[in-house]
Amino acid sequence: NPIYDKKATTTAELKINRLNVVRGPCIGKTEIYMLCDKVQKDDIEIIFSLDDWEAKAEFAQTDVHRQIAIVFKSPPYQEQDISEEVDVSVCLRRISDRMYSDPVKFTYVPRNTDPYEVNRK
Amino acid sequence: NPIYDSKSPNASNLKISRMDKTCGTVMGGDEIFLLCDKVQKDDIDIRFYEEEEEGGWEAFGDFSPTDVHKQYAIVFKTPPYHKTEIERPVTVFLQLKRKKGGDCSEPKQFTYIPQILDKEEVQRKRMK
Repeated sequence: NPIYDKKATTTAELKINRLNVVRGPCIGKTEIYMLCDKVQKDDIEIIFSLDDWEAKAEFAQTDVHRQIAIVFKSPPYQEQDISEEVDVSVCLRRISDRMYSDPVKFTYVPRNTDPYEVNRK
Repeated sequence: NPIYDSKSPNASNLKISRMDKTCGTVMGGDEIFLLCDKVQKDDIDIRFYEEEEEGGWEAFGDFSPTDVHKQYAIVFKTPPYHKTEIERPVTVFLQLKRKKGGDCSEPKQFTYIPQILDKEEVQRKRMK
């Protein structure tokens, strides 16, 4: 059996601790702050997925703060004319060994269905 | 000139890098994610304040040591402004401040927004 160094960021388990925003429009571009366990800024991606669909969140290496937080933008959902909310999974994925974190939930909401929030009033 | 040991935990190297929000309601209670340089979870305050000439107000962000993430991020709730009835947005400052020693980071601005009052609704009720 191989022995892993649990503290090394190249092999350590990936973990998402917290997101500041957990819903946003299906067009994407929602700015999200993620707090996570240690990651390498040049060896990490954030994957949004549902069934066969997956998309990468957008961020630069400078958006990775001290290995423990990432500020990124949600990718657009695969479909733009959804009529109901869609729950998808968000995971960290290490590029080098394709290891995933456990997923957390993000909800895409339809755009412009109720721009003036008439239904809420 | 004094020489500081920048690696010492007591050296004044507090810094706010980024916040997910820079405005919120005058009532307080808005949750903010703040990314910062290294802090000790039980020796740090988030101080909101106004300069002396504007009244010398101060108040502290609400969080527990468990809201300090790996020494480099803090999730906290804003304190209410000292006056909840404001007509226009009010901009104050916030900074990281060590409890022991009292050294501070450079300040960032934060803007308190008046409560959204549905004035028409209020007037309608008054007329009844």
